[in-house]
Amino acid sequence: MASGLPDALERLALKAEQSENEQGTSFSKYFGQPGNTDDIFDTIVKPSRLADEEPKINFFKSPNSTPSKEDVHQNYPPKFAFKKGEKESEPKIFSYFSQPTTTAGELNTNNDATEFFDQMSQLASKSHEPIEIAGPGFRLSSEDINPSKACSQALPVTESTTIPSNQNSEASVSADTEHSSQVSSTSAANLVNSSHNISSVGAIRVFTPQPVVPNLVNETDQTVKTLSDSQERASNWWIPKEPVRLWLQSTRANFSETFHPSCPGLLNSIELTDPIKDLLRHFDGEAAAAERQTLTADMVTQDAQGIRDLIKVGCYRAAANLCGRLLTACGQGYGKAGQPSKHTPHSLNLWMTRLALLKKSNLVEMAVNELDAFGDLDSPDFYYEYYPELNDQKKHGTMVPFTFRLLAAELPAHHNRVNEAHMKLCHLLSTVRRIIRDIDQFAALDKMNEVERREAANMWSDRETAVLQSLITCSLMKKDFHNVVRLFHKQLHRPGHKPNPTLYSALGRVYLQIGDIPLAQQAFNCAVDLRDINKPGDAIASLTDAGLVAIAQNAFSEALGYFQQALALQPDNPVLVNNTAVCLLYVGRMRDGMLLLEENLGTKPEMMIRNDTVLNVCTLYELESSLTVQRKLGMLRLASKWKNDDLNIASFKLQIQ
Amino acid sequence: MENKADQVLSIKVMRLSRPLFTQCDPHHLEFGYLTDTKPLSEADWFSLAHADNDLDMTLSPRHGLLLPQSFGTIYLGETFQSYLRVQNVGSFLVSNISIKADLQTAAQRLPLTKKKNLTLDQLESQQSTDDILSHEITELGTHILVCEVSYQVGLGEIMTSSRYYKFQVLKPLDVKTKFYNAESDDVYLEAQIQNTTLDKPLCLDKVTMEPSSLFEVQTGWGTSWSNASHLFGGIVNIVQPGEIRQYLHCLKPKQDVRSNLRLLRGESNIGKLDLTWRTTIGDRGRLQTSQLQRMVPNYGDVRLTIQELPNPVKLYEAIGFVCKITNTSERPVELSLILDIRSKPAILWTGISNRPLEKIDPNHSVEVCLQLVPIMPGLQSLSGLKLIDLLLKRTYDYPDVAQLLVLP
Repeated sequence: MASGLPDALERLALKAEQSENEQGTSFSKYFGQPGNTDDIFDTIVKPSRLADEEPKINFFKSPNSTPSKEDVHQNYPPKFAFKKGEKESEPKIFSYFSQPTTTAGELNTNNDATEFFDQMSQLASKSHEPIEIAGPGFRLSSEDINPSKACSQALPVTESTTIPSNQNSEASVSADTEHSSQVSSTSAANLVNSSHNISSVGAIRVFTPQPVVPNLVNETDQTVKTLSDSQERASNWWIPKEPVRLWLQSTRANFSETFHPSCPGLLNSIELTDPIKDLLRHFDGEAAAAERQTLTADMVTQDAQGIRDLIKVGCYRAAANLCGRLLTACGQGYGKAGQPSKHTPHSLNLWMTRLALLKKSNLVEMAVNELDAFGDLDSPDFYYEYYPELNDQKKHGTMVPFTFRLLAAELPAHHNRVNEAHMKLCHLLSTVRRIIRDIDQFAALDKMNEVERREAANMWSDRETAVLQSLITCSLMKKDFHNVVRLFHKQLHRPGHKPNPTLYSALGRVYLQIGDIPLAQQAFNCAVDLRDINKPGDAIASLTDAGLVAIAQNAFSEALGYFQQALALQPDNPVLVNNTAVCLLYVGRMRDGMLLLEENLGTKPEMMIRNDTVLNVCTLYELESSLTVQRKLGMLRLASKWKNDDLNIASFKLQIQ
Repeated sequence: MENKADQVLSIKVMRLSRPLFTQCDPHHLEFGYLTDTKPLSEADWFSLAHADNDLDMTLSPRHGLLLPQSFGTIYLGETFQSYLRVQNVGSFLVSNISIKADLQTAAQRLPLTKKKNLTLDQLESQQSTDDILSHEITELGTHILVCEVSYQVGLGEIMTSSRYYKFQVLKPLDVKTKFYNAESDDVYLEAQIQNTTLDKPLCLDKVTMEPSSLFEVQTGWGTSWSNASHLFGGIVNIVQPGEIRQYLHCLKPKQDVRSNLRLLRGESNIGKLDLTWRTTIGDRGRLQTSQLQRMVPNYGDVRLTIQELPNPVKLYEAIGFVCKITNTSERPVELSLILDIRSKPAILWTGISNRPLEKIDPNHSVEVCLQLVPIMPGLQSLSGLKLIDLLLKRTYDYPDVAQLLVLP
């Protein structure tokens, strides 16, 4: 072990991307206190509660390793007696926390003023000291490296989420973190374990997958994409706001009153019902309603797989119900709002899924109310560091999935609070851009290898794009077309990005929405130039664009021609059917349009029943003089046979007496 | 007359405003482990891996056009289009059908059916006749669409039925104008155009001046708005509700009119402003203002204009310039030119003050060469020129006839 250990540590240190120069010093310190071997890992992963026990010499952060950082000097002066080492035990890995306090002012300024208003433009090149991002390579728990999705599913769907059944040596980790001796021993075991792996596997990857806990294996779903180890780490990066960072760095005692943990809970004890069934019951009676068979939360396994199964078949409300049940199991069920509970990646994923499903089911009000408890998703209890008992997983950073943040930011827009959503999205964007910039700084400092840098950069630039997309949607809601177009141009002219015809096409539609036909035509022309006319998909896209321009010019018969041409290429495309039918109305052939829709809905219901087709055909029924309600009911009955609750019942335009 | 239960022919009307793009929410869930299922249809769940394509979801073509779900608002200058459907909902053959659709406004009643009356010999049961009505709205206020149908069932008596649809036409724009009569007889028109709609951002396609007979629009001004978006700073040519945009048009007297000052002075009609705009999905609107009237400038009997003036000029360097004195009165005038110097002069005159000029006949002019020396840097006003009518002993003062930029 003695020979393997320094080797391993050196690798770790290198991986840790922190101490380049002074490893020797650290090592000597380290070996000067042989009893503390485990602390290397503790400093990495344990938040400060363990700190009392032992001097926390931060192995990866030796004093002069990163001269550019002032925090190094602040945090490791000799004046810190070993017995008061808490200050040093700040979670170095999640090193957004390890910013020197002196920078607080500047960070705040940036957060609040510059970056906030600097929404659309690149972040001002105002120089911050490099902010560290959690370096890859700290993860010692080899379970996380499992390339299956188990890594993200490490927590079984039970109340016992806090102690995931980790492998062998860690089984004895107790949530009681004061028992440092115990923790030490387990960590030591872990260390041995890791070093063993390292030496045995060789150089490619420092860590090797360990056998996965069987029940996790069972859950592995082939269709599920997985994140690699470093990807997942990069995925968890986040920049907390300054008070939170301080809080997480500090000993809890001093700050115990300064923040209120978020205590979400379901606000409704009644499960959601299937609206189509309710509508059927109203018009056709109980018997007809009973004939409608959809999956409910009772009919699937009560776990994540069940949720996936429900979503797969479009039973969104049932899936939201199941999320609710699982959350109840996590102690965040009905009536638990306001009561202390513990967040886990699992519970947060459940919340995110539930809220997304509620939004999708047009239950925005409910989603907004349930979201309230989460605040800005940036209190200490959303970080791994807050939960010492999770440390055996060696996870760091935020537990909140990025998509959750995005969802939380854009949700107010659907609740008539577009400006609020806009502000939140801008804030999100500024943080994402800071992280992207920091990635490059890390790469520049040689703290990440190229593959990891690229992975992280790709992930975060995808996230940036997602935020931009939300901002565009939000700006469109505000009719702030200046912003929309500016964002599009920014996206189109991203450096190193291939021009994308769909983007140009979307820009053209924005111009049409504005009414600027020449510019729309220009954008569509750009799209055409980038397309391959021989591909049916591309030809259809171009024909659709041309049809829309014709509509804008009030040339509906011309537009009809374009859509009919496209429809001939792809007769099963519901959008083309729909648009052709719309044009038929505008040229005075309402009945033809109605029949076209009806025929397609009847013969290819699975594909054709969508909100737009149903709404349009029911609108035409109103224009058709006879039997309007009967026809609409017919559509409802048809849909009830083919669709689960991923259809907005308002599309039927039925009035409930 | 209108007894719905008995009606055999039903009348349905639907306003055909532009169809709508679906605005869908992007559901770009990252592959969260709960949500990651193979999506049934593309539109359900997206992963960030396709974020770039997701941008395409904005007003996506993957979502179809939607028919308008309400009447909406309609503004002056827009075109009212409507579907008119008359259907035989009875079970008998109906004959001798005549359909008439009129638009009743406060002032007039406009026929909308293409021929004055749409007539049909017969409609079988469930058969219908469809028509699209179109009318450019030219009046504000209440409009009533009146649809009248008369028909005969079998050999029975002629039946009629009618339906009324009422809507309000609102004012989309507010146009405020200001005129500036330049010394050169050019007329500058400043037009402030405000979007007064409640909810429609306007894409102002064209704001052009249609000049009256004596004027022509200076080319390059207000004729081509193809690059309007660049002109207005932003990337988007749009006027949001409540916003105001300013246009400046320059009108020059036509060459043959220029010499005929009296005619020019008598003309207060300048022309009309032509406005076209588009709103959502290219819905077009068009308005023309009434004849715009300017305040005719009063030049007095004698007019003094500057013909040639170097600009900018150097401090302390003498410059020469030409001014033109025109007799706009009905009689010949004899004038004396005074070069006045004020208490704190910015320029000094070189030459003889109180110099009598030759006699000027009506509608004739003379040109006088003058010299001055600027003694203060900056933008200086050319003042101090006075003319005295020697006959009537009347003084004409010309303060501020021109500006001079004096460089140190």
